[in-house]
Amino acid sequence: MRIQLTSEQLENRSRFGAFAEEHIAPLAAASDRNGRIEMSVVKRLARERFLGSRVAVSFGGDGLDMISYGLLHEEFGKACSSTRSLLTVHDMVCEAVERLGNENMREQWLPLLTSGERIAAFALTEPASGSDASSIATTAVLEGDEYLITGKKTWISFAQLADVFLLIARDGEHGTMAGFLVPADTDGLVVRPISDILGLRGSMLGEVELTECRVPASSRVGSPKMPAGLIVATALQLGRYSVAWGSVAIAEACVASSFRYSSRRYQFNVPIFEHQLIRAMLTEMLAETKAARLLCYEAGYLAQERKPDAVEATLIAKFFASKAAARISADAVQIHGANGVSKNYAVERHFRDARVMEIIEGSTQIQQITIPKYGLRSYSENR
Amino acid sequence: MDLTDKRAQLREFVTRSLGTPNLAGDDDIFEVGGATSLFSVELVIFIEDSLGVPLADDDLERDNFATINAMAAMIDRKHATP
Repeated sequence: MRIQLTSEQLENRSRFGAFAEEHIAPLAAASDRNGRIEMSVVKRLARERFLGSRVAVSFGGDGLDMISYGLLHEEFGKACSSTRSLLTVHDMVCEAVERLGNENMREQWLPLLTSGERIAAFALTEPASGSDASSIATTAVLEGDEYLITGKKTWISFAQLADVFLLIARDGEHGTMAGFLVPADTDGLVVRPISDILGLRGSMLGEVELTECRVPASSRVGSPKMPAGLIVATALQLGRYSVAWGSVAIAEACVASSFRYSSRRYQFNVPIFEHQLIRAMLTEMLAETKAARLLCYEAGYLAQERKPDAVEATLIAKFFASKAAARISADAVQIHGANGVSKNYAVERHFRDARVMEIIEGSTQIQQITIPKYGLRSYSENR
Repeated sequence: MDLTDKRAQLREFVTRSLGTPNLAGDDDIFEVGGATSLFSVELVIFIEDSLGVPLADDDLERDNFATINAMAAMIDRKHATP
């Protein structure tokens, strides 16, 4: 067994880190304050092929391996979780189209998505349907060679920016969940911004209302007879991996800031690092961050090797890393004292962003229902 | 891996994953077996990568995955016409 990045992965990490430091970090506080990320950043992400980076080279992507993809999220997430979350939602759509779309759809959409000519968002959640995704009320009814879609989506990341939505609706004929690529300029589609949120404030959330929106039948991703929920599970599998790494990013940024701060902040004539209770906190923070990263590596490795166990490993990585980010960011604020609740230090933003990570892409409580089922698979006497 | 091995491995994977050792070949795994959407993802990966049976766009239909026998039949078909 060897847990060691390849030279290519090390190079990728350096490249991602340098980009994040130069182009993302300087704008992170403004993004948080203004509730948006700058178009100049989006364009630069596209130019550097960071959008849809997992997509095959033949469709304009970078064909990034899963570990490098995780490192991309860690490096970007350390700088700005909102910018990192654009990659999450855009790439979830790319993943669903590449894996489940037909050849025509892949050829039409993937080059547009990987070039950044079109920004995509994933529209699943509804006012009355969150964790219970199967209860969505938005419907898609086939009329001739078009689907008529009606319903309301909410808490949609980058709804304000998206050119196209992968929108999940209930198939009027089969009653199952189906995914459709719906351009944002479709007649009858209205986006209403959601602002002043606690964390990931730059993720340009929106409500998406659809009133008898007509889209071609060819907009449907995958066969109408596809197993129920496969499209949602496929997209969320990548999203969960992305959020797990984004959580490691928050934890790492908080750990780094806490070590720096505690080394130069003097109380009782010594750096507070010398106080045992501060060291105890730093120990927990450091160990949890490394443990979370190792779980992400495992999930990434299994996904890269195309092992079914990647599903379980990703659930566990997301569960652990998001909880760790919440605890670690809270400790980071505590170590920074009054400075920790001010805008002078990024730990204040990380603390708020970390709260969101335990909610999105499957809440901690949903993971606690799901993960034990995998445990039973491993430990049951019937195995 | 020959076809018999693939069928045996498929059955073992499905029954172990779902915790249903007595699942019959024609039982609907999405109903009797309690298969979830996450399991659908695992199943596709298992068939494609562990069994080495690449799936085309139009293979991804519920009927092809509903029972162990249906999955085995799909694998047989693809084996006969690669």
